[in-house]
Amino acid sequence: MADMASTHGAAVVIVGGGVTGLSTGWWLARAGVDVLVLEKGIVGWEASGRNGGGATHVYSPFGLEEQRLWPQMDELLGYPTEYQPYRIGVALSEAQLALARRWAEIGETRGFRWQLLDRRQLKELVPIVGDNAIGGTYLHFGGHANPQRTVQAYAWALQDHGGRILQHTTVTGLSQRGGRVTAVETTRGAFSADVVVIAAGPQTGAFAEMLGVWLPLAPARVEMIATEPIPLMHVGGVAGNGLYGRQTLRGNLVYGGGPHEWINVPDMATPEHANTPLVRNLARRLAELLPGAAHVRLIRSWSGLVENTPDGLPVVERLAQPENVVIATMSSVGFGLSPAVGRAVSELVRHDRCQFADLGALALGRFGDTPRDWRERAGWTASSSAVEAASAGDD
Amino acid sequence: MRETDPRSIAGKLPAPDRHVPLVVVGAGAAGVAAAIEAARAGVEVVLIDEHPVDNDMMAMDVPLCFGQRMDGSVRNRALMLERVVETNPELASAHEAGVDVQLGTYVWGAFVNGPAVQELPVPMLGLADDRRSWLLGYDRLIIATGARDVLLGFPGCIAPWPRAD
Repeated sequence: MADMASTHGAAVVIVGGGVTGLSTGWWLARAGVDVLVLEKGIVGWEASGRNGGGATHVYSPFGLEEQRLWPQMDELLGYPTEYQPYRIGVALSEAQLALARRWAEIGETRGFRWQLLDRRQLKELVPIVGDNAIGGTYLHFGGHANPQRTVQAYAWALQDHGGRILQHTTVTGLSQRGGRVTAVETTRGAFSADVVVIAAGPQTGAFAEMLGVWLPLAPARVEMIATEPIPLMHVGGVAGNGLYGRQTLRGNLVYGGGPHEWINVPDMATPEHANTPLVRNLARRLAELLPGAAHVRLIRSWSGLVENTPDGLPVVERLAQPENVVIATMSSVGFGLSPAVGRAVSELVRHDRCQFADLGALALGRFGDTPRDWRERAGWTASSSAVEAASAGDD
Repeated sequence: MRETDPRSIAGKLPAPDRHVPLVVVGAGAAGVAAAIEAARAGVEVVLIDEHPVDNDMMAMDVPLCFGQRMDGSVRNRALMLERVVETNPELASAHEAGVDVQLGTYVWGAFVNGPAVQELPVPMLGLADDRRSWLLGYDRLIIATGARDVLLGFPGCIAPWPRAD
């Protein structure tokens, strides 16, 4: 089996079938590039397919391209993403209103329109908002999509263009020769590659280390809840009170946000997802945000793992050494930006540079002075019992 | 002492007000028998059952009644509680044996530490009745809920079907 597989390869091998790897693979495949995505589990099964679905990141270097692409994605992919435009920010306090205004004004500086809403205007748009709301913002930009639909759409569209995906295939090593990565070693044999893209979520740092590159990443667990469906609101992208989320097209209110737990991911296996009583905190804040839906029952909760860089910014860079490797981690904010990031990475693969955005601020060099114990210094470590559990798991 | 990120849950989840050595979820024949045995052995035990469920929840899992509500005859909560006790005489035995029987109480979550969760001070259950939700700490948990259309999933829970060939 391994010998058979070792004869296989692709022009571009992508490590990681999350939303960043899938979008990159789709952009490459539609440009006619021979591309193979290697995924240790199921594509989009982790944070990429279970997040809040927000697509409003105009502050990012990828933000303008994100806003340009999302309204076209269903047509470009050929499958529904359930993209819905516009966002409404609900404020329950002056501090929350100031925060919502700040986000809106960042959009304004980049050429987007928004409106300040008083309570009456807010309740007209979102009837389940209560009298505890003091006002809000109506962004005539941004939006949200269904993460599960979207990762599926990327995967199907990638394959429609001749790209290949291998699931349940764990990458175990990177073969190097002459200053290049020549093959990707996996549990199903080795795959030769001209260019390798590493978009492996929490494991991205471990792959970087194999290449002698320092990429500080700290994984955290975040949790979400979903309610039973309620009638569709005119604008389903309603958030605030520390929550992010949306109303799905079926009508469910799906929200996350707030406290997280720092954890360890000691090897290539992703720890089983689990919830904590934090879901009760999420439910309370949702009931405060949308009192008209406080009677609606929660029907599901789940968690996901996100990786974070010390400054919260992504790393998207074609390495100087080995020069045929591109590293991409979005530091917890990968889904909404994925149409633009996939395009950027595909351009780094094909042209050595991104043609539509300046990625200078996202280069790895900024972590040159970051000490190895940066997680301890920042208080971003897992609890000591987690360290014991992780080392016990190594046996 | 490690540094703490104020936006993480580290150190912010207190142990529940009440902690018991044993909780039994489900007051059917198996659950009640387990609770009585434990109580007679001197173990402090809480027995929880969702019945009588909230009136609005009745018949939710009956396809014929889906989307409708039961009529006024079941709207009397005290009467429903009486019926639950009447139809399950062993509940009285459990009560006499010293079991803390909590009826009309939902278990909406059971939380333990694991590879991706390390901040829980103790294993705990999320409970709720028709008015509020609360947490209960435990050492041991017996799940005796039966299986309707919702199975408790765990690796190996679906045994290979016996084959004649």
